[in-house]
Amino acid sequence: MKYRLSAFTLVELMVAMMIISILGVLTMSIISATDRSSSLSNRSVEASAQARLAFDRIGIDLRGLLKRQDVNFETAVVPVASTGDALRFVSMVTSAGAAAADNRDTSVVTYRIQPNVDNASRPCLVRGAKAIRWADIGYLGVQANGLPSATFPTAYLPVYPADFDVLADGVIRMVIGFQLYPDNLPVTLADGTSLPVSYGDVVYSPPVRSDTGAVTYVDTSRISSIIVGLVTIDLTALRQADATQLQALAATFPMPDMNRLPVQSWANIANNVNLTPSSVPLSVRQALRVFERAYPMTPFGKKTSGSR
Amino acid sequence: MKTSDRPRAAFSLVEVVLALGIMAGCLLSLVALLLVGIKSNQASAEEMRAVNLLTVLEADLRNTHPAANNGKSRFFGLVLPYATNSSGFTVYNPALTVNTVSTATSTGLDENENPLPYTSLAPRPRCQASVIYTSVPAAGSFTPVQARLIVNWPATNASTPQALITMSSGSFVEVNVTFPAP
Repeated sequence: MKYRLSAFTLVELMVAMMIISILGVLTMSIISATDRSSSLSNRSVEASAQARLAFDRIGIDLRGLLKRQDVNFETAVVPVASTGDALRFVSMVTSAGAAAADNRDTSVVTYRIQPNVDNASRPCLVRGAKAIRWADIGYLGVQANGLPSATFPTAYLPVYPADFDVLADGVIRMVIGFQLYPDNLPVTLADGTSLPVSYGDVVYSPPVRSDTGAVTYVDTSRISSIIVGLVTIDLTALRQADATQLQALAATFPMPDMNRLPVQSWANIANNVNLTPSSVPLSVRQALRVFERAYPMTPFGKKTSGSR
Repeated sequence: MKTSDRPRAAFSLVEVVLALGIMAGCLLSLVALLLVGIKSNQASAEEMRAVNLLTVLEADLRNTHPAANNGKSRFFGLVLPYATNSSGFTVYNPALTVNTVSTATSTGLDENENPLPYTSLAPRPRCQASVIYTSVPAAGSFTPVQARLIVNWPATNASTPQALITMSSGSFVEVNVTFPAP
């Protein structure tokens, strides 16, 4: 009898194991549920971080913008799956590309969506920057009539890939919008559209100067703010799609119409998986997020006496 | 053989189950910590969205011409600091009221960031954007109009600027702006 008392009975063991397994299953299910939701929320933060990387850098570069009528400022609507700079301007920011003694922190900065050779050609946002030599700063392509050269002097442009850095892996689409200066005057856009009055409309082709003849130049004094729209996916989803699929995804986000903001035009596409190509894995289509930010350029204020 | 003198060689079943229970309790409290992390993740994503929205809201109020949308801002439909007078000149909006929350100064925004009245019940707006004018100069004065721009989430039915912040439990971002004399 006394010998038997020193050990558990089979019934005791079974009861104990039952309780242990119930507790185990409970804790495991709680842990797996929290793990799932925490990874989802981490991915959403990751997607915002991608957008923030881009927005912060664009903000720093635009803050240093050399906003002069005799310095080039170029933007272009770049179709998805082709490469070319979406935005190109001169900014007072540091970059390499000139000898140290010649480098005075004035650079040509460009942004584009480019297949990333280091990431199986998946498209992503890259930023090019190249310092302008001190000897060239006073010139910058300006012509005798006071106008900048017809297009950016190629000697100053950053060259891909040497002068470019990946800015945000998860940014697969970018559009640049322009809010016009609300001066109630006629305005012509780079794509040839003429608006009878400028009421602070948001357009996706920049306003141009009307007094420069055949060659047109962007008129930064008639842009009240620049609006940047981005489509991002998080890095987990990025690994689940190839370059073709990501380009197909990017192409489903059209250029927004005039007086529509990027997020207004895109949010329903990003939130509805039926509107994105079914060739792309569902988990990737669910990871799309859209962002926009406005940067002041020439905010409304007294421009001439008695504005209408 | 003196079995009563033998030291107890093992835990009793009750002890083991109790220990397991305590361990489970500890694990659960760790999981609760994880939830705090998720909440702060969500708050940070929402805050980034709200900060971006603030920049668009400011651009919208500053740069919409009064004639564009019947004196309201183009995208958010809020009352503008400027108006057009009878001879067609842009002047300060004479109808501005200070520290008011109403449908004229505050709007809800839906999932796609389109305006939706903040009083809407189904669907409820995702967040709320407001312009609270704090200083409006006397007629003919050239001092700037001052305003607070507030984006808070979730949307509230607040009737004062203070309630806007307290009713959304501190989930808000705000910026102070001035509008120069036109």
